[in-house]
Amino acid sequence: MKDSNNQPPKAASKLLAWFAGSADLEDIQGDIDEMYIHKQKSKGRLVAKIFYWRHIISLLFSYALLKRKRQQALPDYYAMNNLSMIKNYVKVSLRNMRKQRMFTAINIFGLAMGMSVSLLILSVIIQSLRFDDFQENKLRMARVITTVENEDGINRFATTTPALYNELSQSVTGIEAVVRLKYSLNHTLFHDDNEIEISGVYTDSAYFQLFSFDLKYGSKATALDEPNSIILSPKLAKKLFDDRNPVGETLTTVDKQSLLITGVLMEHPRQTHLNFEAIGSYSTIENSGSYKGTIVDQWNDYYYSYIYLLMEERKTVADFTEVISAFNVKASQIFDNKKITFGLQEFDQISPGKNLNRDNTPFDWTTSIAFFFMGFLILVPAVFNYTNLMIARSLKRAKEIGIRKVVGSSRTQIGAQFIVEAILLSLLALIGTVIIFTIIRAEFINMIAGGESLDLSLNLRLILAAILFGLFVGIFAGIFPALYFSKLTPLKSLGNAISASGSISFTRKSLIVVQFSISLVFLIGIAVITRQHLEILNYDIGFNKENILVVPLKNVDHELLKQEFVQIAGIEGITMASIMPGVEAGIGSTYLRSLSNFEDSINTKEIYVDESFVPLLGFNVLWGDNLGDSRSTDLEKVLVNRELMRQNRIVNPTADSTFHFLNGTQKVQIVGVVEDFNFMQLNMGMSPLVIRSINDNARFMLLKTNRNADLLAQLEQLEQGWSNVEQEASFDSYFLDHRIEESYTSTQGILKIFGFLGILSICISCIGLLGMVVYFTENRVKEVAIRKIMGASLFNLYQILGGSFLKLLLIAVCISTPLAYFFYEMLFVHMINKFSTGVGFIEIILSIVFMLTLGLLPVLWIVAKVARLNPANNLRTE
Amino acid sequence: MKGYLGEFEELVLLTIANLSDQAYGVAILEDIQHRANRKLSIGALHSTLTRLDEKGYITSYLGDPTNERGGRRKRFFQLTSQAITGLNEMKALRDQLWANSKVNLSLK
Repeated sequence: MKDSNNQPPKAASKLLAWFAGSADLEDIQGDIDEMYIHKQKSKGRLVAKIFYWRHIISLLFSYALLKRKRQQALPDYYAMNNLSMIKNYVKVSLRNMRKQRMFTAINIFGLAMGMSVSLLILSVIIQSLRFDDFQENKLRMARVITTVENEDGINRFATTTPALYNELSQSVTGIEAVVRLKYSLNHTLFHDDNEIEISGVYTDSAYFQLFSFDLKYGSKATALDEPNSIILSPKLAKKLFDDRNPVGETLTTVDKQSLLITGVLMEHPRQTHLNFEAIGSYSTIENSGSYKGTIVDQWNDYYYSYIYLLMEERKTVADFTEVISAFNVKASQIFDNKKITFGLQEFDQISPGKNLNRDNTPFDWTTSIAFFFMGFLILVPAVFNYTNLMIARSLKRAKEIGIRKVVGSSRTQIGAQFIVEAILLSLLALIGTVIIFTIIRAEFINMIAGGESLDLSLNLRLILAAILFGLFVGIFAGIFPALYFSKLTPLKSLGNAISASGSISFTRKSLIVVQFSISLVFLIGIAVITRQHLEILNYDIGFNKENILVVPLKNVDHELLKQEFVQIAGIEGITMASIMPGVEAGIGSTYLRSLSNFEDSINTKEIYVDESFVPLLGFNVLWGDNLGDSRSTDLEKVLVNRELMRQNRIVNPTADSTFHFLNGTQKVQIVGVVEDFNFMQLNMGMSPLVIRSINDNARFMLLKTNRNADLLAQLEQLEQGWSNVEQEASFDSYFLDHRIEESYTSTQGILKIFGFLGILSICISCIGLLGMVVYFTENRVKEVAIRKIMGASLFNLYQILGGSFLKLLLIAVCISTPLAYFFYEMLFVHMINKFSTGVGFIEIILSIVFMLTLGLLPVLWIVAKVARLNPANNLRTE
Repeated sequence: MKGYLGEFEELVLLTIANLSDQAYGVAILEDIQHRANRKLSIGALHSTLTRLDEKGYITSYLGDPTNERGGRRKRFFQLTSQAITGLNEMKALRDQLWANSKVNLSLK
């Protein structure tokens, strides 16, 4: 029997033991061993071994083993007392919170702030994922998208050329319906003596076949058949007609166009990328008789039209690859200087989308991820606070843990205690979170693009999401303390081996450093964006924008108006223009080509102004003279900007090379060149510009006012003058520089978001630091007392107690300054301002000073409190 | 309790009754193999024993350490009164069915 060969196979019994874990198998193992010995005696070793293996394997899958394992995993007393254990965890947690009110308050406050922003961002992301979920045909719809390759690089557009509409609707099988969408419906109406701007989309009757919008009044089938018919959104209908049925009534726009109301939409979920206030019939624009252009022009116009199609049942986007490639071939025949390819985008891929140019969905993946990241950056410091403070309290908790372990707690139970504590705290913080959430919600919606299509009211779904989120944050925050405390050995923790006075551990130090680094990155961001914003506003845009009053003409006879205004004192000059310079609005595109060379043409913008425009706004004329009055002649005289000359490569402006064709047929002569000026927003860059003489397309009157004139009196006079000419439309005016400032709202939005997040992040970090300092100094009260008795000065104490924190803050500065610098310099600044001079030193220095001041305030406050204590009081006990 | 008693369960119970105070895993297994001529794995047997225990038909106790099993103890099984009632009901049902049988069941 002693011979090891007589033993049953070890591997098998080991496998069984491993599989059984801690389950008790003594009797079963004994049974098999006994049978092995019998077998070995009667049948020999090999048979016995095979026999043994077979039985072990049968045991592995047997109910007997399963049952024993289960019993082991849940000992009876534990299974029965599960609930009471949790009750116990909660009780201990609540006691601890009550005992440490200050820490509890700091943690709840910090977590609430961090969680509110994260919750907000989370709900925005959730909503953006559910965009257009209510569309019944969402799986059968697709959108035609366009990729354009030319010398500027590759651009992908969500729009496409309207020429495809006919092709798709006539000659392609497998498509149930096609619609064109053109978001160019813009009207100004009068209502109750107010001007109302409405914007919307022109589309075909099939619109309702594709999209799940219902009509409250009117008929879906016929509403969009006739030109000049319009369907109103419920909001607009309510504004204009209250709850009346307006179908059949006529709206008259300011420019005397009449629109027949043929329907009112039902309320629909706001989460759609198909945003509009009104729907007009597509035949309206087709009938307007505007110049349709050549085939090339039609195919070239891929900026404004969206085409959606409804595929037949069981067809997918892949079924149309051939059709699309046929279009690509056609496009390649038409264009030789660029390559245009089309593609189909599935409807449910539109939002959140892939960052296409001219996409009409407010959410793309990049923004969503950026948002998510920002939320995370705010949440992390708050969670670190908890972790940090919890571990800082280890001295006080260590005894409790030691005793629990001695009494028989397992590591899991200790861990569970800390997880439960963290969850409880984060659920308490959730109350604060919801309060902050409701306060900042409205402001936040205003700040982000596409906010108006979000619905962030507190509903059941959001509340559930919030609770889940709270649980997640609790576990996230509790996991580190749980691991830390469950590792403590009873001997150490009871024997006071955990040093009390010792410095803060490396982990905790690095947590503080990370918190402040994040805050500093945000703060530098605020400074950088503020600077860019100011830079944009003070950028020399090439003309005089001060003291220029803009009056929208609203189809008033501008000659009459001019005569009225000229008489007013303090008006130094009047000019008419088709645009508001410096603000992107109504700038038309055309192309210019020289008489001799028909191959090369230059894409250029065109604006219409009258002859006093150039002197009034102080443009720098480089060559030639001003616009003449050339409306009557065949040969139009135009001005161009320097950029156009540069692209046109006219080196020597001889008389011959100044003649050109504009827009194909209009013969023009360049009579002057003006210095480049930013007629569009800065970020649009500089493009070639042709300045033409105004005819009857003036939209704005620009008045140069005297700096010293009485503005109010002037405005009154202007309004008087206006009403002499026009009785219906009301007088409007604004200063050009204000308008330019307002047009940079996107940077303002970013500034607001950054400002808000930065303040939040620094607040959270400071609160955490405060907690740490309080704890740290509390443990050193005696030390301070002794030092004082030994003759330490107040300065020495500040140095000793505050020095280590200052060091941490300085490390944070060292880490995040280069990071922030590179991030903003490389990525950010040039995104919001193409002409930026980059990140300057001043804003970095200012942010660092700001952060250090804020960070040291809690340190100084607490240290001052401790240092001023009477040492006798602190040494008396014991 | 769980009234249903399977055929194999009945067999195991009766074997335990036969073996009396020597009813432990290997003994039961060999007895069944010997008498009923059934191939049976130890896993299957112990699973059945576990189920019988759950149903309250048997109880078990650990014996003394034995030398031949490397010092491991045997687990002995005993019938409960519930098992005896169950077996009796089973037998009564069978007897009744045998007695009532309209077909001649005797082998010649």
